[in-house]
Amino acid sequence: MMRIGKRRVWLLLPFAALCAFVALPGAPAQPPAKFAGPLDAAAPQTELQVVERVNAAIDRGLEYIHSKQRKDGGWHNNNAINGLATLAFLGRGHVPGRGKYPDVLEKSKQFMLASANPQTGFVSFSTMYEHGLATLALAELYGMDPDPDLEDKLRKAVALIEKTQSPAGGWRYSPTPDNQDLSVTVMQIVALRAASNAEIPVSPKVIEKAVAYVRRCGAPTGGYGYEGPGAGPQTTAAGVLSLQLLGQFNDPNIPKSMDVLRGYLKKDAKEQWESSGVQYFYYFHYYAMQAHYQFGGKHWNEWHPRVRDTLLERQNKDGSWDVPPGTAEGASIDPNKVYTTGMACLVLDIYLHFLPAYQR
Amino acid sequence: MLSWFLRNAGIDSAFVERQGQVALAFDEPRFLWFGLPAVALLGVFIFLRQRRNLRSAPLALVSALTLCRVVVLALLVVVLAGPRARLDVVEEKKPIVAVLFDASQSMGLEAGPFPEDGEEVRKLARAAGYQVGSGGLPPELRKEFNAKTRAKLAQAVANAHKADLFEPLLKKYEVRFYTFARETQAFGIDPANFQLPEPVTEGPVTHLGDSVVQVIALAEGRPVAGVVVFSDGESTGGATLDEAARECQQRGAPVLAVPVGTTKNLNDVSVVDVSSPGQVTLGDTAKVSVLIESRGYDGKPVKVELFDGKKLLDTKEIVLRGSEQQGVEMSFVAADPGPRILAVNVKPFEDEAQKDNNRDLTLLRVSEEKIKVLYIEGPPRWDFRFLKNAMRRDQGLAGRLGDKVDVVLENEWRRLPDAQRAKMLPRTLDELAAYHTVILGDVSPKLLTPEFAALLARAVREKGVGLLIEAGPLAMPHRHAKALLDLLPVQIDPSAPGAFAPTAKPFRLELTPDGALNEVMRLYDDPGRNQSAWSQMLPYQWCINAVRPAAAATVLMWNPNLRNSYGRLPLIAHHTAEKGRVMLVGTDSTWLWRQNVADRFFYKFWGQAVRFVARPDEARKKKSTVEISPVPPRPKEPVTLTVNAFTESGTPVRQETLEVEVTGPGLRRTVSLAPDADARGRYNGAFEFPAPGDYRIAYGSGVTGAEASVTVKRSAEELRYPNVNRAKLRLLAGATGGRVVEMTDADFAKEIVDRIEQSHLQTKTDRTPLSAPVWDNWMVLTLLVVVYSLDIGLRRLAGLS
Repeated sequence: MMRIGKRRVWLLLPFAALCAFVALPGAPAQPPAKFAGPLDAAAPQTELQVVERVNAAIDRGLEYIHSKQRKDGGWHNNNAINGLATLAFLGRGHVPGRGKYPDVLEKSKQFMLASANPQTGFVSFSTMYEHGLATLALAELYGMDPDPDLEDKLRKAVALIEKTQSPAGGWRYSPTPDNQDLSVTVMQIVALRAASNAEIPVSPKVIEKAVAYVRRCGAPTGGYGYEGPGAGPQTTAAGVLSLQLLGQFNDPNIPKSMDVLRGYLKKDAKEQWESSGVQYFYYFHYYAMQAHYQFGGKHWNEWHPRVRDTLLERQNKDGSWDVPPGTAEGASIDPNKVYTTGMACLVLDIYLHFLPAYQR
Repeated sequence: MLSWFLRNAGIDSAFVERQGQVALAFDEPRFLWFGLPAVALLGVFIFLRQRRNLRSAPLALVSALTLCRVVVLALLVVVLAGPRARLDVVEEKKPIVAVLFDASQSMGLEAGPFPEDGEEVRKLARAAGYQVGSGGLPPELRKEFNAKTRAKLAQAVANAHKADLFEPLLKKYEVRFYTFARETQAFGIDPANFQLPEPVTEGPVTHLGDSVVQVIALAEGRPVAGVVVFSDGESTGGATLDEAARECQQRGAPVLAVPVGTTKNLNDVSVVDVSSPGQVTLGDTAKVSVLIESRGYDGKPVKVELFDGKKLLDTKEIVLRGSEQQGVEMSFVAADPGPRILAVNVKPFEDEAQKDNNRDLTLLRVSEEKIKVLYIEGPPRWDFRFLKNAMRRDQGLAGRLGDKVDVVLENEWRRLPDAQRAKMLPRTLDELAAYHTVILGDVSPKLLTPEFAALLARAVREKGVGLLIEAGPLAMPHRHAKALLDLLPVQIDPSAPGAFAPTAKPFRLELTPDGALNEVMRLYDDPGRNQSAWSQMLPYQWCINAVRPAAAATVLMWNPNLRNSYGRLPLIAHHTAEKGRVMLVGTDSTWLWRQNVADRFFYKFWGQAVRFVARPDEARKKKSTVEISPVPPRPKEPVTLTVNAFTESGTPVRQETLEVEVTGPGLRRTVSLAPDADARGRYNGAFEFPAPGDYRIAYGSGVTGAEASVTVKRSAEELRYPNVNRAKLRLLAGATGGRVVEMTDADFAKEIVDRIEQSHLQTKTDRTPLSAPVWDNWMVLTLLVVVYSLDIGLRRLAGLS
């Protein structure tokens, strides 16, 4: 197992600032909901049964997120949270104007669009973290919602990402091309990938520079660091996924990175939750699950059941998820648990294959 | 006499059979009350009158003449009164209890092995009517039970419970017995000498859901008190158990499921699913999805191997996990053209319960064709984002000039300067006809102008360009010109942008019989699995405003939720518009087919559809091929033999029939194939391989000939899950208000009878009144003529006028 140096934890703290709002103690955790289990404990669950369990958990999660939506359509004055919540609905196949949650999606879209700067295209209350996630959510809405304002602001948001790429190829908190770190960079890469998939033109030069920057953050061991070569679990998961999303499936570092990530797979769901060794549990699993899916094979086969079962076992009765004990996300957790619940839903959405941005 | 009369009077046989209950009644009895006394008085008057007028006639003659007239008059009065035979048909209708015995091949597996403690086998022996004490079971009996097939065990237990299960049921209910595998067949039992026939377990698949639905349908509206199912619980195709449970729920018929076989879990590794893309092109990286299920080998590594004949294509190692099925994705670069039968193999462990299920086959067609595709879409909706990427990866598809499919997206197109916009689309008929297939998404008339639509219609009709349309609520097809609407295989009502489903009741899709046979809709080669895969697709929220299929169109998929005066509404359909083929996909949510399987079903459908409609490229030389579907074939199961026949110059063979020779163990047979209306040079014919073994199917010889070899094996479907699936039976029974009843339960029979009796269905007495006129027949007419003739005859004989 990789040790997480104090310095690296500090370097990751900016991600905690993603949810840049007042740190409040989390609501008292409710006992984990008991999962009814398969019909016959001895019979292997079929693919369909697995998906039914996952869907049931996501549905409860979405109900929870729905219950926390404000009248103005947002969940927080932080578009990272709003983007995540929106993506959680989309990932379950709820699309604008249809099904159970058309109002939720319309209101959240309106909230994010209203918060966008009409001149610069910055869809954020503070940092590029927010902007990246909000742009991703808007890109996934685009095409399923004919709203011209959505298209206009999405194009501006994508253009802003292109404009704010640093000379080194990365992005940093502020919407200016002066610095970079891997964590913010990956958010922008996913957003660019979604936009490009929707045929919104993205300059190949921007992609080339981003690939070069991510590679510079890779260590020969397969790990990735926050601002340069390193081996933090979160940044490694993010680094691998960003290369995959940028089409670099044959990057020689990826198999080594997958082996690094494997070190964070614990022997059972309890250990995975209580002592996985990652400071930013949801952030890590959001990227790690996608990276494993993209990589496939033995790694994916080992990874997804353990992480899935961990999340299914740890869902609260009200549909929300808490943070595991002792992890860093706990310090800045959204008191409404929309961040953790949205992230957990997105991790589980991997089984549905609905979000176009994450197609293999 | 009465029966002779009734029969000759042309009266219903029900009257003849129940003549003791037949009563005479009159429609207008008042004619009798007034008519007959009047006839009597008239008779006296006639007699007196005749006596006076015919003074020379003897009294007997006058009396006879009077009688004739009275009879005629009386007959007329009776006819006026409308006499009819009346009968109340009283029928006792007992509620029905259907008893189903699984006759699929898996029921031919051993019922054991049973747990070592011997308790289960002891109870089973008792249930099967053996006298067993509380001590240990005699070793011979234990051996006999371990080796008994599941079907024999079911038979023995049913026979042993004649007195406490079937006799009480037969008293109160009409008990109908059936066996089922793919088909459900009724069989009769003499209640006086209750003995189940020897089981035959040859069914290559188990359609448990279909069977339950069918026995309910066979009740023809009569109450069904219960359905008792003796089965090992596996259902390998047909209606889902959910559908069957819904049917039972609606009819208030609980399912009492009796699992047949051991409760012990068998150690086994099974290849439960192999799915190929169906069709790839030389150079494509073909992905084969494999699903492995295991029990008893947790943590053990195994190698999953993919073969084409003896050529190893890919190997993946997995660590077995018994808690759930494990998906493995195999891949290889398609290097050999033609139909390839791929085998997935997991080397069996020594102690595996069932080693035949460690291997399965799938068919993959590797084509050398390059199809030129133009994809025009409106907004970048999700179907577009998945489809264009999948098509760009597909080596068999290209653009007019480049290696990748040509894509025009309206949202980007409208941002271009006018001059550049014009260049994005083909401008002449020849440019458009360079494509084999054009795909239209939810494009607006701004891009797909009436002029371009007219050009496209010409390209389809005159040049044979294939057109594949995926509808959308913004514009397609309701906002488009008549030239485009006339091309569609479905008549639509353009006044509304489609139909939106209520949130609580989204639309479902239903494969039509034509769809079940069509290559576009083939997600699995096996028809049962294919049907099952489509029936499990997620419901959707929007579809076109269809009115009816166009004349001569083939509907592949219905929307069963919407109906109009023409019936169910078509969702996916195709037809031929002069030289070109047109297919309409009437929903915009095929991305929902990605749940859990990503591109596996989504692009199998779209990849097949793009090729199905494509303009045939007759200029390119092609070689003949022979195919068998489904793969792998099973003994005595219908398969389709297909020959794609080409001449030496590569043009499609055109003849009325085409013959292939099938040779195998003790077999040499010529099979005649008929031309396929959907593809030039393609010929299809049905065949059944008589027994397991290696077969060769040969068409022609030399450079124009082709052949295929295939191994026919007993059903892998039936061996995939050797364990008794109690969970599935519990699901079915529980959803219907029934329950699973174990043969080993002390009150096995009582539990079944009690639950059935809880339905409180009583025998119903149906009273059906029948009536038939008894005067409207030749006998009454004859009587009238005879009497009248007698009157005239007597007068003539007596020399009267």
